[in-house]
Amino acid sequence: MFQTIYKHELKENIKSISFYIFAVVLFSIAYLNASNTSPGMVIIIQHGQSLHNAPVFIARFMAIMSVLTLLFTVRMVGRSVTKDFQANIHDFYFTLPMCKAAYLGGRFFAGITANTFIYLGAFLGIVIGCSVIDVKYVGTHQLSAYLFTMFLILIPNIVIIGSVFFSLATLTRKMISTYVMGVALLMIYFIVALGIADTSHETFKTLADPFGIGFLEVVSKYWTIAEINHNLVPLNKLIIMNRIIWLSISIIVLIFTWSRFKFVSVLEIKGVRNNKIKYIIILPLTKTKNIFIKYGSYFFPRPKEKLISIGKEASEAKIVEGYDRIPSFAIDDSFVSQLEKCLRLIIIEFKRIVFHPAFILITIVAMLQIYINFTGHDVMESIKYPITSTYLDHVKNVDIFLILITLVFSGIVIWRERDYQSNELYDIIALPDWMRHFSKLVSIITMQLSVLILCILLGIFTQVVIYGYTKIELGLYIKSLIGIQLFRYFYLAVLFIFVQNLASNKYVGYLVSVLIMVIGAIIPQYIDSDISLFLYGKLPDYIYSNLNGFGHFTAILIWYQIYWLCLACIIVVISTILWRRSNETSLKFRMKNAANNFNKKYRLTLSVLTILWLLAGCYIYYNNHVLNKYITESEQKLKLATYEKKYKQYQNTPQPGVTHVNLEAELHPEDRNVFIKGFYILQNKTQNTINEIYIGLSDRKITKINKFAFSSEIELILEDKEHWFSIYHLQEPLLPGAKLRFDFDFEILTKGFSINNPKNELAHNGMVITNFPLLPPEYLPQIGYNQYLELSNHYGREQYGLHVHNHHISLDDSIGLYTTAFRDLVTYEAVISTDKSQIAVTNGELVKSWTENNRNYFHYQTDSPMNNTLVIHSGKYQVMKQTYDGLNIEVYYNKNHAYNIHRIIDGVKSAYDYCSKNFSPYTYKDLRVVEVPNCWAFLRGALSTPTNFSWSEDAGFIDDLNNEIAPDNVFPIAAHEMAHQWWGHTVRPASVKGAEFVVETMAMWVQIMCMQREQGLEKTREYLKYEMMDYLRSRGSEIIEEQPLIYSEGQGYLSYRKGVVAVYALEDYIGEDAVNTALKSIVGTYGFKEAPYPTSFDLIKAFRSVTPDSLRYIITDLFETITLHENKAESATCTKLGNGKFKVNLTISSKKLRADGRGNETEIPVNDYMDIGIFGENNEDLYLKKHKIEINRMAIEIVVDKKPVRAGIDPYLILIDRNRENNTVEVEGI
Amino acid sequence: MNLEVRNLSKTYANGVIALKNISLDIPTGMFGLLGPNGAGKTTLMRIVATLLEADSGNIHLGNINIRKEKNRLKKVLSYLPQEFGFYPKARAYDLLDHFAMLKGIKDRKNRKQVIEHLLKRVNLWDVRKQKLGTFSGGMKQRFGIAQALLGNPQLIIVDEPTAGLDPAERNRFHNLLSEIGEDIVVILSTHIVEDVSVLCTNMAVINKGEIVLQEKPLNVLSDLKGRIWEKKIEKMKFSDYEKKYNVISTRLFSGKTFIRIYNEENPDNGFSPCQPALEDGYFYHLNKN
Repeated sequence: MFQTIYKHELKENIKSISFYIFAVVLFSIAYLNASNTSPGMVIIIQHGQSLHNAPVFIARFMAIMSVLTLLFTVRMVGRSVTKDFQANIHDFYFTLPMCKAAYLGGRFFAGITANTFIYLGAFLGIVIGCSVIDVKYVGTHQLSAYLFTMFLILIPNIVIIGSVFFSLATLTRKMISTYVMGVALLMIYFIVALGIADTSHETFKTLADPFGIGFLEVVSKYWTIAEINHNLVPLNKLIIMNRIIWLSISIIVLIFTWSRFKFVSVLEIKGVRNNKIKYIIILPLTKTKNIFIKYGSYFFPRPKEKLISIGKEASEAKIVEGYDRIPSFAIDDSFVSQLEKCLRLIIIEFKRIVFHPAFILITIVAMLQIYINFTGHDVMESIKYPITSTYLDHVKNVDIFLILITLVFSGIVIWRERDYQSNELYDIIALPDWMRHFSKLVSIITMQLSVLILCILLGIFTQVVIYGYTKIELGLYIKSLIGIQLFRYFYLAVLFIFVQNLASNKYVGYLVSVLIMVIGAIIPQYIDSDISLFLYGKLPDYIYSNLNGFGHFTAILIWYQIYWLCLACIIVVISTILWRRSNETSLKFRMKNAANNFNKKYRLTLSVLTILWLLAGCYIYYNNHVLNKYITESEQKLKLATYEKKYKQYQNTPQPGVTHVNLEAELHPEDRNVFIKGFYILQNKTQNTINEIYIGLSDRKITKINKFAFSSEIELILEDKEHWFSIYHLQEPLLPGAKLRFDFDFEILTKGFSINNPKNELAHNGMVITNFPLLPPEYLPQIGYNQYLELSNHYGREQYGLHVHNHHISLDDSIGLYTTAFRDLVTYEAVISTDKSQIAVTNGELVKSWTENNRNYFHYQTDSPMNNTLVIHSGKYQVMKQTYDGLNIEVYYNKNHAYNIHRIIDGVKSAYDYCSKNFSPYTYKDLRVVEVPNCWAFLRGALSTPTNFSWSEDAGFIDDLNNEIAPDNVFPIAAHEMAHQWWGHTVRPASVKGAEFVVETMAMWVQIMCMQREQGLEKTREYLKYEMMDYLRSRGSEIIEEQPLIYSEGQGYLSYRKGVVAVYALEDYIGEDAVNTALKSIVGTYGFKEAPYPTSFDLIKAFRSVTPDSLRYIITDLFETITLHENKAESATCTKLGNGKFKVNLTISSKKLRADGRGNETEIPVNDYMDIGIFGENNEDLYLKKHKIEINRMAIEIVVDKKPVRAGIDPYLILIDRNRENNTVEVEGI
Repeated sequence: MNLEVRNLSKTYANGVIALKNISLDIPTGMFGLLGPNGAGKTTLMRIVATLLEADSGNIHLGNINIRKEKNRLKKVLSYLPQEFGFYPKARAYDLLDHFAMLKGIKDRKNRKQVIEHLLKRVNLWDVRKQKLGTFSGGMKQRFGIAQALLGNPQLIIVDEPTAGLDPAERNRFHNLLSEIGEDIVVILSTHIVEDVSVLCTNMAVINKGEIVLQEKPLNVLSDLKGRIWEKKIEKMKFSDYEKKYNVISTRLFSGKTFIRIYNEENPDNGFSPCQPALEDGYFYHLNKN
């Protein structure tokens, strides 16, 4: 029996159209994923430098796909019994002589088999996808990798998902609620997965994830590229346990289904109310009790609602006679009455939506997600004050839910009458044409509004009740959620309803709606021009800042809103005209009918709307393309490539250096205009005469150049505005040592708005102007060729005909050694004026400030030379001033962000003390910290310039430091940035590989030492632990090659994360003073010196010179190579000695590995000094000393005074070790 | 106010010809539209109810041109479709209230009166708070009638209302319909002849999209008077009789076959005369064409 059913069902499944559609979809995704070699694009998983068919990728891809395409399984497996109910042929089956197990089992397993076949499409996609790309991306296909994925990941996942939804659908006999549950469970899974992603309890993480994704993550956490490429996923105890646990759960679910299922035509009314099962099976699954009882009511019906049986009713039937005529009534046909009818329709529809279990479920999940995200935080991440803008960032999570319910309910609402066969009853009621459509649309919008209001209430509730925070910004809530977001959802609702109105059935409507959404999301990635006016309902990106508010984004947002609103209204009108209002539902008929009904009123409305829409579109286009220039991403890349091709030839031509910068800047923050006048003093610092001067200045920000003038006769021989390059020929060559004055005068005007070049740094409050070399020369002219503008490999140099190069220059490069990213040392003078309400800040010393013509003027000056990396700020700032040891510390901050100013000052003081004591006295008199708005996207944290640092509002100003759980990240940033005044602004490294080791790693060194003084050893160790984990985790996603620390090139995980671990280890071996002696010598030799500039080699040399011979190997291990240790305490036993002391016999093992840039490891002999530690009660240090470990396995005997509890090797993880837990063991004995 | 149907034709997109040039005059009172399944009854009903568009022809209710002034008709129209349903979670009272509101009975008190009257009249008052999803077929049909009586209809169209009802429910339904005033047009479409003979003062028979008979039932009966004959025959000999006589119907009774034939004179041959029923007229006219 089973076989017959199974075979028949399998055949049916394989014949179904969805079988092929699903297989093709899976194939395509797998193909795209496997063949995707563009590094910027991630389809499902990022391959980086690893092989695209690496075993762990195949496993992870299939695991993720089995979850993402969960609805495929719901359809194939979940529907296998329910379709009988839908087709109403269940009675035929139920009367056949067969047993339940054969029927259910046959259907279920046929579904599982067919579904497995579908996923074979994905495997095929991987293989074919790999075959079309360059062989360097592909390794040999390992059959065992595919088999592992198939039998341990894919099939179990299908069985687990299939069994749950099969049971749900079979017992409820309802497919739509099963789909909704599918989506809801998917969401819940993502939330829970996010929740447990951070847990350090790896066993739990592995077992709790039913789909094996957690397992794959845990086991490959620290894998290097080499390991990813070649290692098979280990078949360990954990994955077997995981599969056993979850498959047993599915079996239980299936058995439950079998026991509850009955061959009955209609669900029994007097079913056994088995509360126990309900509570055991249903509730723990979800915790959203009420909803499940609602769902549960289908198979645990509430007894109070009796179904009236036909027979009983008939017997009671009496012939009714002699009734009077219907009481007379008045029919009110007035407009008010029509409105009332409309309101009535809206209310009834709205009620049906909000009491729908899917709505309740999804809303609860959405609110939970927002709440959990808002109140939770990652380990090592700081807790922010619950300010409204932070909350609103988290509310963005509601997006997917709101889109989902808008989609679902647009279908339900539009098709409701037809689904319940009451359409004919409604269609013959005399209602105005617009009313049915309008009422349905409004009910959807009301639903969206109510969800958003719920978000606002949740936010206020959390702020007030949970946090006791009472600065409620109701206006901001309303502007952001109602003024911006609600409109977005409205546009979607209009679109979905339009589609549903035209579609031939609900599911076609859903499909088309989803397709439109997907296409809308994909298209922008492939189209490289301004399509913002064609992406229906898409608003420009905006950033809300607590300093700047919505600022200059307001205008662009309003115009796009007007544009889309007009279009949405046009669609509403068309949708109304085409409304399905009789049994003539064919589109052709409706079009014809619409043409007949297209009366004056419609014509007028449509033309007014269309004119408004087009006008708004023209105005937006005028702003984006006429007032401002629109440059696409590829145009920009092409510009950079052309710049390099045309002008790299001038890189080595001697150019004068800047020795003095003088600026007169007039800032107009209210209309975002800046007028800059000034001059450079240029000096020929080379040994050669200079004939030509190259000036770079971008037209991206500069609107108009009024003057470019030199103090000697000069001829402009090339002006390439496109590529920011001009060549001036000196009539009289500039001799070595000679000087020249270069005057400039230009205007930066903001005209209208631009989606392409919004100039976010020119904020109304918190304007920032810089001249950093890493950016195109936007605000101040640059001298000479700018190598930092060259395209990096990551952005496809090859595509533009440029040779592949390493971004940085090798350590012995002669040009590199004579250039520095910190540029010339200059003296600087600036007079900056700004609006009366604002303060302007720049580098140097404030010599005078005054008010004139209703404007504030600030005169800054410095006589001691500083790096030519300048920044100008202007904003409405509060100022906190403190004098400390002759240093003038000033913090410029927003009045609402006063929370952590003292911590910033503490950090500055701490690093100031540390550096001036250990390296050199601070050169300047001032140190200013300026808060900048987050709309300056260049800056995510803080950035140091001479005498100043700019600090983003999000990176610490609103951190809540009054708690024990989260770390204080403000003090470390302040100390780190202060340290850059020495490491970066005093010692200026050469522009070669490893420059960031000199700058960032040394700043990390100061930072960690300050933290240790401030927060104690324990917190410092905790901090280092996460830095090491971060380093180890980042290795696998390296996109070029991991470098030894001193060669790091643009690799933050090396210079910051590994760097701090390594210098801390060095300190552990040779002592803090020795490290600082070495660093002091570097500051002494290279501080404020011009070329040649120091490199990481110079630092290593200095370290070596302070390290005893016996320990010098550690410098090689930490800085010059990639070295990893595998230390393990095997066992520790203890015997009590006669004198009351304890003897510990400790056995340890130790392995030392060298890795290459791709993570291929070779074992090298151990011959190292390592900590051996023994700990008593409460982690008391009983013994901690470095022992020389010369063999891989060693027994050590140590006598301690107190009772030992734990013992081990390198217990504090000074050395880099992937397996930290096994470094110590419990001491046995006694 | 009469309903006039003139030269109405309808062909569906799939090529099925549903109505062929139909003309009908329907006076006030109960009008029965008889026809076998698929004859075009529902199509005609739907066209009259504005739910379908005819290809050609005209329909007037009094001075309302139905094909052009749909909304004007809708104000005086009630329609009980052949198959319909309600939102199963709605309660009877609430839904009727909802319809009353939509039909323009705005005054709350007035509405309450009307609804109470109607629900009592269709004997659903006791279950007014129950959800419609729990209603039996008959209850649903009665609810439909209550809904159809709302408003101020001049034209009531009832499409196969008694199909699937048990005899008691059908009886009750007949009573309800018969109470509807005689000064409005009520069209009852059905394939059950008895419904028409019980209720209607006028009738038409439609077959394959054409009107084959339009007459008062009483006239139909009187026309057949003395022309219907019946005989008990052997089943095997049926084809002989069919060739020889105008057989209107056969029926089985206690395992024996009875045939009824139309013959203007006594055919002898063992036939006995019998009282004509409306059913005889129906079959006679169906077969005639």
